[in-house]
Order: sequence, then structure tokens, then C-alpha cells
Amino acid sequence: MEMVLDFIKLLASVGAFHAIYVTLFMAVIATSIAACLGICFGLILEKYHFPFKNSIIRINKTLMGVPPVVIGLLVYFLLMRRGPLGSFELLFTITGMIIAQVLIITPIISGMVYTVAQREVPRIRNFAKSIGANERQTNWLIIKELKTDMYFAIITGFGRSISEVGSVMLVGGNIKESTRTMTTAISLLKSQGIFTEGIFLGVILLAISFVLQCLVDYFRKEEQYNENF
Amino acid sequence: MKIFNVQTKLADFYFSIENLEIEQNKIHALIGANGSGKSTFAKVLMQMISLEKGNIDYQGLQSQDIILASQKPYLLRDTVFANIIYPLKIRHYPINIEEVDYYLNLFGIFDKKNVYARQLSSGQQQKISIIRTLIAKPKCIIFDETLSNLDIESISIVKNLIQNLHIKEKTCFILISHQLSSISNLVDKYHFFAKGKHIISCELQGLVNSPLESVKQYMALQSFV
Repeated sequence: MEMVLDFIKLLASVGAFHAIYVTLFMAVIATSIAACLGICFGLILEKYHFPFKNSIIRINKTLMGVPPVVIGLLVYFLLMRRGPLGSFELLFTITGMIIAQVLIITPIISGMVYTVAQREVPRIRNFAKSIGANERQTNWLIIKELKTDMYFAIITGFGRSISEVGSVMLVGGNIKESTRTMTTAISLLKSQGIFTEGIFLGVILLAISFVLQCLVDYFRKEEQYNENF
Repeated sequence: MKIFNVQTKLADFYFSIENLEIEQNKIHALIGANGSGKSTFAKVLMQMISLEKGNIDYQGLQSQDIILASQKPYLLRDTVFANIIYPLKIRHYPINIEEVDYYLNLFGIFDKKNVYARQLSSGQQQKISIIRTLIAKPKCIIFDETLSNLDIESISIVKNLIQNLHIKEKTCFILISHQLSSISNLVDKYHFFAKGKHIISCELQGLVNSPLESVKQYMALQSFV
């Protein structure tokens, strides 16, 4: 018992619990914003035709795989004191980290939603028209029919957010009890040679990833089980 | 419904109708070979395809008064019951559970009522599509090859339902079929299409006696001549 208490004290001293809180807070807020933006953007891309649409889709697909550290650097330049958004003083804050995360996750969610919408929505729209649904009912039906795919996209985005280290390190600055996340804490602990706490945080990250993977598998299995081939 | 000088183009497929009338008090059939424009006409009526030219006078029919049941029905990612009541929900009609159960029993799928609809066989999915079309009681129903996936008993049930609804509710039916013999005892008026063009509208006798070569060929293949 004493050993456990000592271990907890040690974890608290390196700011591990605060890092867990910051990671989850940042991931939840960033994923929520990115989900709203990404889902809307994905559905708009499917529905409307406008100039340079194909180029925008291509850029979105490129951004899906962009290294987070590049986005981190971009946000850093935007938020730094002499940068265009420097007056907001968001560098080395959780808000700044959330901005970077939103920029990383939104293309992932919008890309995934667009891909599935492009395949499914024309059929849903035709069905809605054939059964006499109006515009509002059709839009609601599209959201209802794609909800599993949307959950899948959101979980993927959340997974990316909690496991990300490059951009949060650059924008957040890895400040103890302030902007330190689980991933940046692991990185720091490793460089200091403190492996036990690093492994503890790593196990927590793995556990979260495992839960997310279970959720993804659950949605996939449900879909596969329900379809008649 | 009256269709005047309608023209549209889908990729390299041209579709045109000079003049065609769908009378509300009749059962109509759209006939013709594959790719003749039957399903395109159904989609034109449902405003799923925009017109390049011409117009359609719906004579007071609203979009909710016409339902199209397609050959490959789209089923909601939900239960059989939810699928069946969907047209009632969007019309804000009361849901009559007894009527739903009656149709499910009639088609022998009552035990599937709370089953996920997409789990069912294609024939059973077609039955759900038919039930949800009939239960909404629209003024006009278009069945696009809807009978093709059904067993003989179910085809007979659907034919009886079509006749009953046509007599009792004055529902207008537009049946799309490749096999003339399967619907000839129901239909009042035929609309023949070939290569994307409406060729002729007449009764069965008019088709049999038609001097038009395309109609003659089609009727010969259907063993009507």
C-alpha cells in the first residue's frame, strides 16, 4: 500500500495527473470542434458543386496525412508574439494547442465523411425523394443514416488527437501543470531517464487507444452483422 | 399528369416524350426493352432528374402524393417496422399498428417485424418496400420492376392489393415491367418506350395491332403476336 502511495506521489510530482487531464480536455474539445466542422464540410463537399471543388478535395486528402509537426509549426508562427495572431497571446496555452489539434483532425473527419457521403448520400437522397420527404426531412435522414460512419470518423479523430505529440510540443511548450500532455510528458520523462512514470503514462495511453479500437470494432461488426450479402 | 415535350440527357442517353398523359383513374404500364427509358421516365416524374426542356403538369398532385418503389429498394439502417412506418412519419399520419401487422402477416414476414431490415433476403426487402409504399396510401404509386424479386404467391398478393387499392382508394398505379404477361390482366393503358423515346400510348389491343416496327418486334418477343 505504501509503495502505491509513493508511486502516486511520484506521479503527482512530475505532473502526470495534470497531463492526463490536459490530454483528455484538449482531445475532447478539439475533437468536438473538428467533428462539427469536419462533418459539415464533408457533407457540403458532397452536396454542392462549385469551382475548384476537385482541388479542394485533393487538398483535404493531402491534409489528412500531413505531419502534425508541420501544422504545429504553422500554428506557432501564427500565434507567436510577432505573428498575425500574436495579440491574442495564445501561444503556450491549451487554447493554442486546441487550435493546432482542430487543424489536424478536421481534414481527417471531413475526408472520411466525404468519402462515405459520396458513396451513400445519392441513394439516400433518391430514396427520400421517391418516398415524398421534403428538404429538411431528407437532410435529417442523411445524418441519421450516416451516423455510424460519423461516429467512426469522430473516434478516429479523437484517437489521433490524444496520441499526437509534435504540434502540442511546439504550440504548447510542454509546460508542467499547464500545457504538458501525456505524450509530451512521456517524451520529457524519457529524455530525463525517468522510465517508470513514462511507462505508466504510456499504459494509460494504450488503454485509451484500446477502448477506442473496441468502439471502432463494435461499429464495424454491427454494420457487417447487419448487412445481408 | 400531363407530360409535354420533355427532353433530357443522362451521359450519352437521350430521353424524350412528345406528349403523354397519365390518367389518375387508370392502372398504367411502362413497357419496352432494357434501356428504353422506362425507369428514366419514373425518375423524371419523381423529379429526380432535371429536365432540359418541356414540362409536367401534375394537375394538383404534390410530391408526397406520388411514391416510387424501385427495383433495388433503399432500406433504412433500422428495423423492418421503422422502415414501414417511415412514410407515415414524414407525412405526420397516425401509425396504425394493426394495419402494419396485417401487411406483415399477409406477406409472411410478421416474425421479422423487429429485425434489422438489411439482414433480410432481397425478396423480403422488396416486400418491405411494397408495404411501406402501400401503407402511406399516396394518390399515385410507381412500381419499378418491384414484382421481379417476388415468389409467385407474393406476386398474386401484390396484384390483388393493387386492384383493391385502385378500386377503393382510386389510387393510380404505374407499373414498370419487362414481362407483359405478368401484368396484362391488371393494366388499362400501356406506354411503350424504345431507345429513350416514348413511342405510343394505348390499350393492349392497340399494341397487338400496332403497325410500328419497334412495337411489333417487342410484342413478338413477348409472345403476344
